[in-house]
Amino acid sequence: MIQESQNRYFGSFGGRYIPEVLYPAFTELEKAYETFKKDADFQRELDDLRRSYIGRPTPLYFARNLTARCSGARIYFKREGLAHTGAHKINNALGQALLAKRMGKKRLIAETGAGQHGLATAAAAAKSGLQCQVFMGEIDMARQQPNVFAMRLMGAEVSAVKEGSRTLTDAVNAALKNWSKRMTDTHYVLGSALGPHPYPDMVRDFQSVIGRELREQMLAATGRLPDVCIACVGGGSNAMGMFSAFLDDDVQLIGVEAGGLGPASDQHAVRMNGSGRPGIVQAYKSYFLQDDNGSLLPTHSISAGLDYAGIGPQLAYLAEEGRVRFTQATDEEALEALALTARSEGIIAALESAHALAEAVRLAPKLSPEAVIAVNISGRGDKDLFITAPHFAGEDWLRFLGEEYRRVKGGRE
Amino acid sequence: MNGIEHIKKAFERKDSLKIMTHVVGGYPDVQTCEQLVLLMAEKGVDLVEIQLPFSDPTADGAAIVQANHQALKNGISTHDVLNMTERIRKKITVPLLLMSYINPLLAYGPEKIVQRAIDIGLDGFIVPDLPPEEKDPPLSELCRRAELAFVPLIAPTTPPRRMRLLTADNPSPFVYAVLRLGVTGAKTVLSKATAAYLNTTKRITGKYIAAGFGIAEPSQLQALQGSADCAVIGSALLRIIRSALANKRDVLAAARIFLEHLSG
Repeated sequence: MIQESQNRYFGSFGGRYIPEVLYPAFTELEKAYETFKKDADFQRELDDLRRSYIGRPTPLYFARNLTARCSGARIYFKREGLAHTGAHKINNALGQALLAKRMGKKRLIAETGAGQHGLATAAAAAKSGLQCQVFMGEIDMARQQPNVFAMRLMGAEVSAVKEGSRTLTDAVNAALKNWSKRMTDTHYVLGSALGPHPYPDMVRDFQSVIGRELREQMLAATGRLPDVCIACVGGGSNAMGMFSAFLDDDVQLIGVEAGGLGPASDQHAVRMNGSGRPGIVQAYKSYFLQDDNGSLLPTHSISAGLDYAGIGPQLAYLAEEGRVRFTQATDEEALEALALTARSEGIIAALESAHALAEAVRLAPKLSPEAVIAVNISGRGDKDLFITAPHFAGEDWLRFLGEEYRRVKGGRE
Repeated sequence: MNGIEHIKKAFERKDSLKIMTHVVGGYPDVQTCEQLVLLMAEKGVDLVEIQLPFSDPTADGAAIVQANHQALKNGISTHDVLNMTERIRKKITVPLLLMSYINPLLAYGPEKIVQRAIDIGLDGFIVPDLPPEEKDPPLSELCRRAELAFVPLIAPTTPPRRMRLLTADNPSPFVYAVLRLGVTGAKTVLSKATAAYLNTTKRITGKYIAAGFGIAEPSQLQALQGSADCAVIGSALLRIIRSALANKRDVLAAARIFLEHLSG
C-alpha cells in the first residue's frame, strides 16, 4: 500500500485541479510543508504543544461494559474526544497553524461542518497570534450553535455561507474563494484529508499521531495489534489518521459513512457503496455523490461532520484496492449506539463518532472474544446537545429552553 | 472552417477592442438564454461563452453562482445546453465557446463532449479547473486533435515562465487573462499594473488577450483599449438579468439597453 501520494496521486485519485490564480499559493505551501516536515525544530515545537496544549497522548480505553453487552470481540476506544476543543481536528489545525506562522502568514481561514474544525482552527489561531475567519454553512451554524459561540469567543470571525445547500461543501467553496483573493497574507487550513495536493498528505500526516499512539498503546495493553480498526468517514481525516499506522499490517480497516435516513432514502452521505462515482470537484479527483450532469447531490446526515458529497482521495484509493472496507450507519443507528455507549461507559461520543460505534456494536458479536476492535471516538458529544437533547429528552428539553429564554430575557430587562 | 480558425478570424476582423459576453446555459430559461445569445450577435459581440451550469463553480462570484444554481433548479441538463447551442449555431456565425468546470465534462465523457462540440459547431472550451499539469482527462489534447480551442487561463499571479508552459503546444488563438485575484463579479480597478501585466502576457504568449473579471462599464473598456484584444463581460450582464427578473421587467429589453450602452 502506498503511504503517501506519488506525483500528487493515490492511484488514480487526488491531483490538483485548481484555478490558475491559486497556483503560487500551492507551490508555496507545498515547498513549506516539505521543508518543515523534516525540520527538527518544527517537529519539536509541535510535539511539545501536542502534550501541553492538545493533551496528548489521548488514552486508549477498554470499553469493558460495552464489550460485555455485545458478547463478542473486545472493544477499545481511542479517545480523541479528550483532545483540546473536543475532537481530533486540533491535531491538524495546530500543525497547519504552526506551519502558517513559519510561512509568515498573518491570517488563517477554514471551512467547517460540525464546527469542530472551525473551533480547532480558532483555538490554534488565538494561541499562535493569528487572525482567523471561519466559513460555515448557514444550516450548520443553526445546528451547531455552541461551536459558533465558542469560535467567536476565541476571536474568530464566523461567516455564514448562504449559497447552495448551505453546508460543508459550500463552506469549502467559500474558503477557496476567499483564499484566491487573499493568499499573500492568508493560509487556508483545510480540515479534512482531501482537496488539492498537498492537503491530503499534509492533513493525514498531522492526524497520523492518532494511529501511531494507538499502535503503541494497543501493544502495551494487549501485546498485539487490533484485528479491526473502525472510524467514521466524512472527508476522512480521523479515519486516515487512524488507518495510516496499519496499512501494511494484518488489520482490518473499516470506514463508516453516514447512512442518514437509510440507503433507499436519497437522504444520506454514502459515497462508497456504488452511489458515488469518480469525479473532479473542489480541485481533487475522488468519489462524489453526483447527478448525471456532474453536479454534486445534496447529502443528509444527523451529524454535520459527515454531511459531505466527496471523500478523501487516499480513502478512495484504499477502497478500490480493497484495503479499506466501507459500511454505513443510519441516523437512528448512530443515536442508538451513542445512547448505549453513554449508559454502558459514561462516555458521550460525538454524533460523527457514534457512526463508528454503531458498526463496532454490530460487528463485535460476530467475532470471537479473543478478537480486538479499536474504535476511533474522534470527538465528544457536548457540541451535539441541541440535536441529541430534543431527540432523547423532547418535552423536558423544550420546557428547559423556554424557561431559560424567559430567565435570561428577564435578567436583561 | 475549424474552431481555432473561426476564433482567429473573429480576432482579426477588427483592430479595436473585441467583446466576449457570457451566458449561463439555460438561465433564466432556455428560450430567453437562446434569445440573449442571438441579441449579443445582433449587437456586434465578437465571441460568446456559454457556461454549463454546475453545483460548485469555485472560480465564480455570487452573480454567476446564483445563475448556475437557478439553472440547475430549473432542471437544465448538459444535453439541454448543447441542444440550445446547436440551435444558436444554425442562426449566427459568432464564435461560441463552452465554458465549464471539469466535472460536468467528465460526467458527459471527454471524448463524447468533444465530438458533440464538433458536431454542433462549438469553437472551443474554457475550463477554469484543468491546469496543464493534470493530464487526465486529456481534454486539451482532444481539443487540439479536433482543432478546437482549449483556452489557457493566465492570472496576475502567473510567473512568466509558467505563462510559457501554459501556452506551449496550445494552438488556441487567445488566452483568457484573469484581471485580478479573487472570483468573478466584483468590480476591477484597472491600473498601470494591469496594463503591464497584460502587455507581459501578450509579449510572452504571443497570443490574443481576452481580459476578464469585474468588467462592467464603458470606461473600463476604454482603459483596456491597447492592452487587451478583447474584454470579457460576464457577471455584469447576469446582474442586469436578475434585476430585470426581480422587477418583472423584460429581460431581453434590459440586456439590449446594457449592450447598446457598452458599445457606446
